[in-house]
Amino acid sequence: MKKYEMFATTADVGIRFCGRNFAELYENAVAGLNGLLFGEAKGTPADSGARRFSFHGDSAENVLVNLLAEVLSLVYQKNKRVTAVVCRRADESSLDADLRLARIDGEPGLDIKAVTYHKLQVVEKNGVKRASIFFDV
Amino acid sequence: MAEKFEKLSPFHWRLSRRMHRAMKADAEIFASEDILRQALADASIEQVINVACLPGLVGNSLAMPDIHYGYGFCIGGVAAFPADNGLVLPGGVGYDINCGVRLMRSSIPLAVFKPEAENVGHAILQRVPSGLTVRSNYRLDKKGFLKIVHEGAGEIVRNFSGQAGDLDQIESRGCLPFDDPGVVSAKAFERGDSQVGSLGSGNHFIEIQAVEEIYDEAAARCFGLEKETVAVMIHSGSRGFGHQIASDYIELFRKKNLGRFKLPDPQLVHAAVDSREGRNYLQALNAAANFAWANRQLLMEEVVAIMERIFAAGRGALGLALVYDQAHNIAKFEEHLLAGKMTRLLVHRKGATRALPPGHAEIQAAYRAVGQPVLIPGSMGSRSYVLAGTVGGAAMTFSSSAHGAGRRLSRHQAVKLAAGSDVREKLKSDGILVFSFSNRALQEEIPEAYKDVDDVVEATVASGISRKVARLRPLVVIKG
Repeated sequence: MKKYEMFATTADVGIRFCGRNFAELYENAVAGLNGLLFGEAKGTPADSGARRFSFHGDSAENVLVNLLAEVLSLVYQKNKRVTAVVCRRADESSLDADLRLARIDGEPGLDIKAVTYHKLQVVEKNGVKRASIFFDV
Repeated sequence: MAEKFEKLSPFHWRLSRRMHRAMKADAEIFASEDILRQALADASIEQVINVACLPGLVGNSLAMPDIHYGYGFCIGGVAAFPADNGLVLPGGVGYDINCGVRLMRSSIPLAVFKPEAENVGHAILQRVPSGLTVRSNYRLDKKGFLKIVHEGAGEIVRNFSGQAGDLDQIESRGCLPFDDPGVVSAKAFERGDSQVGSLGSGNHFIEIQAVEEIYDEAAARCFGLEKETVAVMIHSGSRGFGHQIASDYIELFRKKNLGRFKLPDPQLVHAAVDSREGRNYLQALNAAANFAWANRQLLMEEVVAIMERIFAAGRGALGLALVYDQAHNIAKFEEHLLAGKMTRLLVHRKGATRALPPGHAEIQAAYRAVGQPVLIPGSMGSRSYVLAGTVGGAAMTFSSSAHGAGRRLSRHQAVKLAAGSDVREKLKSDGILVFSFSNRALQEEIPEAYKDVDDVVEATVASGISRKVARLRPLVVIKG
């Protein structure tokens, strides 16, 4: 089971990702977004603290969009990338986690304007949750 | 699917509402057969149909000749709703609110410009913040930023730089009503105030172009365009400020729509125009639109200052003057003729340009006889066009037209075609100097990644929604 894969449409980009539970699903979504922004480089950048992300929404889709929007905000506004999502609690409509951060050297490879709800639906098959997210570039 | 379309003319197609149970209006596509086929392949027609399923649509769900796949609406999508009790959809505008194009003319002959082309390009790249870096040449406090989002381009003309007459050449005079900062999130303000006067990245650009061909002498004269002179085209939007406003309101509308509708695409979330949420979104949208108009005014003034310095003459002597500035991602209240009666509508244009016909009262007096300029940029290696609105277009499209070429290849596919340095060299051999801090941006924006703008313009003109005025050739391209 591949944690995530990236795809591209003519105008934009996206990620497909999966997880055996909600915590893993959310973590892999962040890993996929990192893949789009920074490539699939080996090694972990030096840690530069953490930020608490606590969100209670109406669905896993709602959590995913808000989590990834937070990651983008950290990248473009604070020049920080999320290196790990340490979950305190994760379920189908909420996430309470520490986002481990690292300072970005240089620029991300892509300017993503927004996370969209386009065709976003978390589906479960054989105990694995899967979703795709499109980003507006 | 193609066979279900009725061919109204070689460049105008209609899918009847009878073809789909949920459709409340017809879907109309202004396109050549080839463009229609591409639209069917990339599923953007499905998006035109989704819009036709929305309640209260006035007329039909429309798509312009540069139709391609978007979120909610397709790119090139146009839809109108009643102004008093209709719907407003952030997905009918897009994330980059008031992304738009501005054209400035000059009297600088091509032969005079060419020896300085390198200097001009280099100076613009150094001076204008571009790409992903968050940087602004303007340090504004909250009050200063609020003035910009209240007053749009007018604030720049009055307190920074510009000519009073510039406002006449900007759609809606560069300002839409905004008086409630409470409808904009703190996050949007935070993202916006550090980006004032910046170009952005992706397909945003500043281009110095040569007026290469004139098709309509009278209209070109009216717009001040003269063959073999230099013009400046700027493509940018509302930066992170607009993106955040769009995200905030899609989130809010989504919560309000939950459980009420089964939408064909969650990006089609909407609110009633007269609801609190609808009114607030329209206010916030106006703030973003004003930011974008102010931003393009600042970007133009940066170029004016550079040209004045390099050519050692003032803007008057160089003939530098704004031709037009228009939005291509917006929702605005407008009056249109419906069944013989002027009717106020909320017109959504996503990747579509307003194109008012000759004689329209909203066009400034100088252009009224020929119609509103319509600016259609091509890719960085291809021509751009100036068109003008038509009476026929006003009747068919709520005075709308195409807005650009549209991508043909994904960024991933484009990057594989050539190294950034090769793109630069290839364009240089075609007489186009490209300036960018990012080789990756050049790879992604390689001309082959875009559709042929000539095909889009041909379909736009042949369908009768605009007419050709002039063609512009790129000389210097500054990419984010």
